Formats: sequence, structure tokens, C-alpha cells
Amino acid sequence: MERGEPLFFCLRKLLLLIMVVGFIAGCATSARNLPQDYSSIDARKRLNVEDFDTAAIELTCSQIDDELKILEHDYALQAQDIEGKRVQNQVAGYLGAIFILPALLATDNSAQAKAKIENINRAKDQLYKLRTFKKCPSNSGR
Amino acid sequence: MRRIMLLIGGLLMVSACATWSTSSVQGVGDSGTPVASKAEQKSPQDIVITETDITDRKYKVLGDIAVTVNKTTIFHSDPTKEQVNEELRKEAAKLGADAVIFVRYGTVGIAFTSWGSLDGKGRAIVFLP
Repeated sequence: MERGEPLFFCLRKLLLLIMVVGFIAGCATSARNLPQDYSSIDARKRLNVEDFDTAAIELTCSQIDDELKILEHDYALQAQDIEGKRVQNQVAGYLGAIFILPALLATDNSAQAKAKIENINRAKDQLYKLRTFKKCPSNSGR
Repeated sequence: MRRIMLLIGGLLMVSACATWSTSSVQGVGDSGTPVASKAEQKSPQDIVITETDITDRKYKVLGDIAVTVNKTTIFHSDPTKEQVNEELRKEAAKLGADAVIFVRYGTVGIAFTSWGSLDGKGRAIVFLP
């Protein structure tokens, strides 16, 4: 029993460390849900003009693709921001959990970047829908 | 001491694999998701992956695929979109799909079972003649 105790405390500390780092390092966010099927041969709903606002319906296919490129660039910036903070958080998490507690204050859960990504994804979905409605040529490289 | 050695040994064994993955397929139709026979299954490399819809060909939906790629230990590199695409292709190939459309990704982060997890979703389709 005596020999087992140090290992027990060691494991407890390890578990605590994992929990602390897990909380501050930022959780994975799930991929957004797939859109409703509106273009296969079995689709129960078809897209129509009422599904889009007037400004959107005026866009040409190349304008839609330009908008998507801008959104993809913004997405990459936000993802880079989250990734950078994740590494910083892990380092701060280890230091905070093992040596210096105030190091935990240096963590950031990227809530703002995640919210921006959410908005970008919503806008991308709307543009994908518009591409389908306008029958813009498929771009399998995207 | 022996327990610690066992723990270290166990960790070393699992760290031999950089990533592991999980997947699920959900049928869209009422009949559920068909699984293609061996002859109908495609090679994963032949499957088109796209974030948009395919508008110039008629297609039928086979199912919605969800995959998650996890890194094995904290010391491995984070999973990438390419690895997610690879898993989507594998699952789509089993269904006999020609393409996976509307592909979307989550962001890498800590999940309940992994130090680095990235998930992806897509709709497996088959082109009609």
C-alpha cells in the first residue's frame, strides 16, 4: 500500500494537469451540419428565388466565387489565430499547472475568432446555395 | 516502479501510431445507407472531394459521412484537413460513391478522447448516367 501511494498521488496530479490544460487549451469545434439536400434527384425541396435576398440574387457566378475567396481568406486568418493561441495556451497551461499559477492568466480560448468563423461559415453556406441555384459550373478543386 | 514502467511502455506502444480515426455514415433515404458490393466499391483516390455542390451532373445521395481524426499523443502533430479528406474518401469508397460534396471541417482542439482532434463532414453521392 505504501509503495502504491506515490503512484496514486502522481496519477492524481497528472489527471489534474490534463484537466487544467484541457480546459484552457481550447476544445475542438465540430464541423457545421450539412445543408439540406436540394439538388439530388431525390431532393424533397428545390431552391427558388424566395430563398435569397435581392442583392444576393443579382450576383454573377464569378462574383459569388470572388466573395467565397474573400471568406476563405478570412477563415484562414481566424484559424491561424486559433492555432497560434492553442500553442500559447498549452505552454501557459503546463507552466501554470506545474510551476507558476499566474501563467494561467496568459491563456485565451479564442472565443472571438470562433464566433467569426461561425459567421464566415454561415455566409459560405449561403453562397454555396446560391451557386447551386444559379447552376454555376462545379469547381471540384475548391 | 514496475507500474510506472508498464505505463511508459503502454504510452510508447500507442505513440507508434500518429493518428487514429472514427467515422459514421448516416443514410438520407428512409431505406438507410446502401453499402456497395466489393465490385461496386471505388478506389478512394478516384473520389472527388469538394466543399461546394456539383451542378453539372445529376446525382443520387448515398449518405452523410462524418469522420474524426485524432492524434494519438500530445507529442504528435495535429491532424490536418488532408487527413480528414482521406478518411472521407475511404468511407465514400465503401459506399460506392463517386464524390463527396459540401465537405466541411471543424477546428483542431482538445476532445474528450484526444489531445488534438479534427472532424469533417460530407455528403457521399453517386453520379447518374
